[in-house]
Amino acid sequence: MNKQEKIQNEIDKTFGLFDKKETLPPNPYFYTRVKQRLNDRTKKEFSIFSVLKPAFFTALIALNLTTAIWYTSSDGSVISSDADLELVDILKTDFNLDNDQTENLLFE
Amino acid sequence: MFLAEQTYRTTDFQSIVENLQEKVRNTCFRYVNNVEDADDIAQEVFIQVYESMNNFREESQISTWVYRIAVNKSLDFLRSKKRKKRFGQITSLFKSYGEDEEIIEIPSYGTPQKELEDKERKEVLDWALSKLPDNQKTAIILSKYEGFSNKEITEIMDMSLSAVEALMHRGKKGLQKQLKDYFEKHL
Repeated sequence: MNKQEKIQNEIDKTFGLFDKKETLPPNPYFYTRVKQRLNDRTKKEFSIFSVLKPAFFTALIALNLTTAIWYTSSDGSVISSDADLELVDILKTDFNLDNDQTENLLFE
Repeated sequence: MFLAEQTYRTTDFQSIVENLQEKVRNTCFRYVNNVEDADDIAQEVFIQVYESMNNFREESQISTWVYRIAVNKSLDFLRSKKRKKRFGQITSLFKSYGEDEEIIEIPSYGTPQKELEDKERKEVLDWALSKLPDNQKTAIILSKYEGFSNKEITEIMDMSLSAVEALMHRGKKGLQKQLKDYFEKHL
């Protein structure tokens, strides 16, 4: 038998292993383990939610309070930057508006 | 969830696990070649089945759906192992080779010499199989090891029959090439 034949013989024998199906021995505790993992996961999810829920609501209340305090303490004035004022001037010139005309428009 | 529905679901789930666990465990094992990892992946498969049971649309058989999850989970495991291996190559400088590899022990029957030969060949076959692209590997494993028909494989892999046949053909050719290369070097 030459080398090529030997190689082919080995390949055939190796492919032959597909026919000798070896299977894993049964695991009698398999279902129990799956159930256990499911239970653990449910407990874990529950514990995460039980921590996250109060934290979320506390953060929400804090945000509400901060907004309320900020709103009541501010005098409602709008602070305009130089850039904003410049833009207003440009628009005024473009549309030929002076202060009186704007007031007239508003009164109409 | 109502108690009756929960009970029904649990009973249903238990029968699914009992009917399919052996095939799922074995399918996973073909990919990972480690009993503990195979069991771990198979458990994850059934957990996903339990969590997605309400979303299962009966367009295919439940077994097909479960095997599809098993294949995907096994491939995910191999990918993650590959990533870890790449990272581990840096740390492996401080470890001896194969330190954390477990030896697979499956009971077999025959003379010790024959068993040894078969065991060596099995390792070579697993190595050659691991060199194939994922889809070719899956087609070969499902067909040759698990004995699924080509039609069943089309459903599990969600492919046409001609695509599966092409994968099988390329897979066999790939295996043949890998084995030839191996034996040319080692005989």
